Amino acid sequence: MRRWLTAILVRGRHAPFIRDDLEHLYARDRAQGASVWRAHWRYAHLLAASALSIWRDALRRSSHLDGPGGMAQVIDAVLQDVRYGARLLWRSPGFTACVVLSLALGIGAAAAVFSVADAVLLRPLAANDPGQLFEFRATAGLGGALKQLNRISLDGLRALGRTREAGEFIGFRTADDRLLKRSGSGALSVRVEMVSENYFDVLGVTPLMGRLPGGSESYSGSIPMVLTEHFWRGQIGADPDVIGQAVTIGGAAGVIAGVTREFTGMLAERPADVIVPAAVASLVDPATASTGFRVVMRLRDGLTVDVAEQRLAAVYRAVLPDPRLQRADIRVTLADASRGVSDARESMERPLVLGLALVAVLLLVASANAGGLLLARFTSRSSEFAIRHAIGAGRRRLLRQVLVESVLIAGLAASAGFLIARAVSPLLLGLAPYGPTPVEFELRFDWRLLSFTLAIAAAAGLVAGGAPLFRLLSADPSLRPVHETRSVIRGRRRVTETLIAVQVACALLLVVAAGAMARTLVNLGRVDPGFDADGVLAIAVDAAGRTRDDASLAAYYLRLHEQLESLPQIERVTSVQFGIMTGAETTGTVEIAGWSPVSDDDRWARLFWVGPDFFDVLRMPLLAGSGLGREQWANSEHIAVVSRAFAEFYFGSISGAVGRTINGNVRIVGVAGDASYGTLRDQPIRAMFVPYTHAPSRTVRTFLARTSGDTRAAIRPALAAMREHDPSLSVQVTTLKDQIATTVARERFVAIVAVILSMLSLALACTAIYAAVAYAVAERRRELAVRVALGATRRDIVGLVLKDPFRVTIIGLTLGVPAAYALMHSLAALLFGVTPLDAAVIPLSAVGLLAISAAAALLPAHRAATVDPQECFKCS
Amino acid sequence: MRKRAKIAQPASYLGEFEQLVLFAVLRLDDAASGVGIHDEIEARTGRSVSPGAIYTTLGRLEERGLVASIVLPAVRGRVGRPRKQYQLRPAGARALRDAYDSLQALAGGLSAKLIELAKG
Repeated sequence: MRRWLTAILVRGRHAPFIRDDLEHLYARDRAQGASVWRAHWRYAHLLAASALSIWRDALRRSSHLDGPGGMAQVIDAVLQDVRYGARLLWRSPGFTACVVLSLALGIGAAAAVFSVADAVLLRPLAANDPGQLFEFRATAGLGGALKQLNRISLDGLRALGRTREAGEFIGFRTADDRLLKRSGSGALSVRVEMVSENYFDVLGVTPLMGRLPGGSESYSGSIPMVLTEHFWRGQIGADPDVIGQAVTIGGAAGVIAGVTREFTGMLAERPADVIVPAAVASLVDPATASTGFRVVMRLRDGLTVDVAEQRLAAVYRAVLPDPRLQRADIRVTLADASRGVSDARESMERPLVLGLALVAVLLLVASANAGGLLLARFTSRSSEFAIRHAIGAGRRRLLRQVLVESVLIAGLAASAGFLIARAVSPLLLGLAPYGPTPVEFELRFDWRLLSFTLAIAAAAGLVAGGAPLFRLLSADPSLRPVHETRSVIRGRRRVTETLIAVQVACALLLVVAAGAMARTLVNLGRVDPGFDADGVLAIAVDAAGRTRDDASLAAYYLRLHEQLESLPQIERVTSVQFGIMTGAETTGTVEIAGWSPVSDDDRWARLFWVGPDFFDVLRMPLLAGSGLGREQWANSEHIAVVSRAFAEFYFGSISGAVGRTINGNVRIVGVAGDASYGTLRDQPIRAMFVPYTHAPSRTVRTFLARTSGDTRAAIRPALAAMREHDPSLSVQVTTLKDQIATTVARERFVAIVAVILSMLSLALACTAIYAAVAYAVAERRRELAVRVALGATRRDIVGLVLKDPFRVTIIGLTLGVPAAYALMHSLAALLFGVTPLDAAVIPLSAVGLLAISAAAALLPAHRAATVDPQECFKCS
Repeated sequence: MRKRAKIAQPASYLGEFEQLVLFAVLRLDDAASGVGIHDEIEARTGRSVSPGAIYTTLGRLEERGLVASIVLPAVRGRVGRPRKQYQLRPAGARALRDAYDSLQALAGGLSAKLIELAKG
């Protein structure tokens, strides 16, 4: 594809060298670690610029500025065509609106999805050579458990940097909702990124204004703070005098040292407003003072990722503060950070790529639709072309006229599409399939989006304008419609019918996608998660920095527990370490005397550190034994409740599990029913529930509270109760229902996009069918009148008129069905309870489309049936 | 039809991009290939330039007798096509010197003033 496009665009005497160099630069980019996307993006950019240079050079060579055939003359003639075309479009506003609107819908939808995909998946960080940036992630395998070590303290970071292995390291951490106070203006709520001192040096960020503090500075006196460009423009009103102003954020005072150019911090889905040195982190955000920093590194030139990962694993061990971990199996992973660090990107990638594919289909529908309209108009203008041909306009001149008009329409549609994209893409990002809080990737309506919009508008214009161009090339322009032969009419009808069949096929694809995704959502909604999520609040707290020893942490949680339970809106409270349906999980090993595992996997089970009354609050059925009530929970003996899948896997039956001992000293006291803990798609898993008092100290915990009455109304009091107890505690409250909804966010995103696109495509296909039938009826008025005069009944006429659209729809469906099966296969990973060869979705969609197209054709058919032969003959 | 007067230009006139390309050729001595010139301009000016622009410019300069090119046979390890290398000819060196001199004559000593103005 790349070479093919290059071969087409790069021509002339320098072509072999230019192509060779483009290929060389691409290969070099890839070898230097640029992603395929990025390398292709740069290639496309250089290719387009090269093609433009060659074209300009050729133009300069082929003509002098003046004289016949010269550039000035060509430009004048084209301008004349533009003026003429614009006048014609202006004079038929209905037609112009229809064709521009249908193209703009396709272009706007494509540009909207692209702008989101660009923000999430494509746009590189506004730093120097972002391809060399990687996020440092590490895990330590210790006694069967895997510990994440992704956050590192500042000291650890400096120690890592001093080893000079693999490259340079920077650290960052963000805090939301901090108050920024400027002298002489009100306070603003800002997102702050706290960064290590070498941050700007290593990233190579350029300032828009002022300066960006470097690594060697010591902050004697005022702390330098940096604003990001989007914050400076959006919230500070691009005030040029902002540099040097004194500000405070939380408890930290400093001065504004500079404004970044484009750069919005390392975390892509949460663009920062202000960037401050990590030295003041504890003043800005006391709540998470003991939390480490996320680490990004710039890989040294010439080092591959594999080699760097191995070297870093060795040196990282020495840097670790905890002596226990130094014996652990350390694994380091360097994840691509060229587009910034993002936790959401991975889960958004597939839905966005699918979204792009679906809008491409809609764009094809819109182009075919506009093509049909342009063809009809071209036909009605055949006298004009015949006259222009007769008075000396060559075929080339007429072709240019058609081309110029197509370009005009495409240009109008591109502008409208760009505006649609601007309006729609923030809404689209709002639907983004990730986590409980919405992602805020920065959407930019810049030259990247503009050039994409123009490129697809050109492609759509080519498809749409192709039909009349094809007619002009294949028919003799001197033929006037009066003399049109049957073969000419038939030829034109064939093109129109092809365009409609394409629209029907594409509409089928979109309807099938929408149907399959809607069924998936319905099926997921029907899944019984194994617990009762209605009326349950999930209150996640992070007690980092409160206390370190197990006993006092347990006491701290108990106080929070009591605080919640004292609320009148809340009936009962329990807790679990990471919450449920959050995606986070803990696993533990299982050892049973006299049992040996067949595979290593058999030794693992999901582990839940729970509070008292867990099964009561969630209304999970207990199949045998007892639950973890307050008295069992307070027991100092090590006890556990296991899931049904656990009991059946290790002990063969539910009853066989109760009373047995696992892991040396843990006695199983009960068996609970199976449930989904991660997503609704989960198969029953082996799970064990253990009182959290027996767990090593963990600072995160989610309280689950069963409420009486309106669940949402209890959110505010719950939040207030936690804050009252500990004002700086980090708390997030949501309902368990909403938490479950976030686990199907990907499916919902694709479903909504597919439903909207399928509606648009249906509307476009219907108007095309309607217009084609209406046109055919008008054309065959006399013939139909003769038939009526000779005794044809209404039913005969309607049948006659409906025959063509019916045939075209069937052809379209025949084309669409295999493509729909292929689409279902590519959707398979997102589907639930719907197989790609589902008996219902495709046939139902096809039948539905047939009915809708019949409905669209019925109105003109009905008008045909009421033709009055007498009146018709009188008129002609 | 509007007529446009052709603006007379001396034969040795060099556009801005032509000057950049010639300086890059000069810097690279005998090894001025398309990729080399591309890298040189990008690294020193921060401007992204396309191979198409470089070759068409060099083509024009060659026709005006300002640079000379030799085609080297294909090299192992690269895509199997011959490569082209460029050298500055005396006329090119003169034209470049003239362009640089006139720029210097006009711009000399203004640096401090420019910095002052740009500040504020």
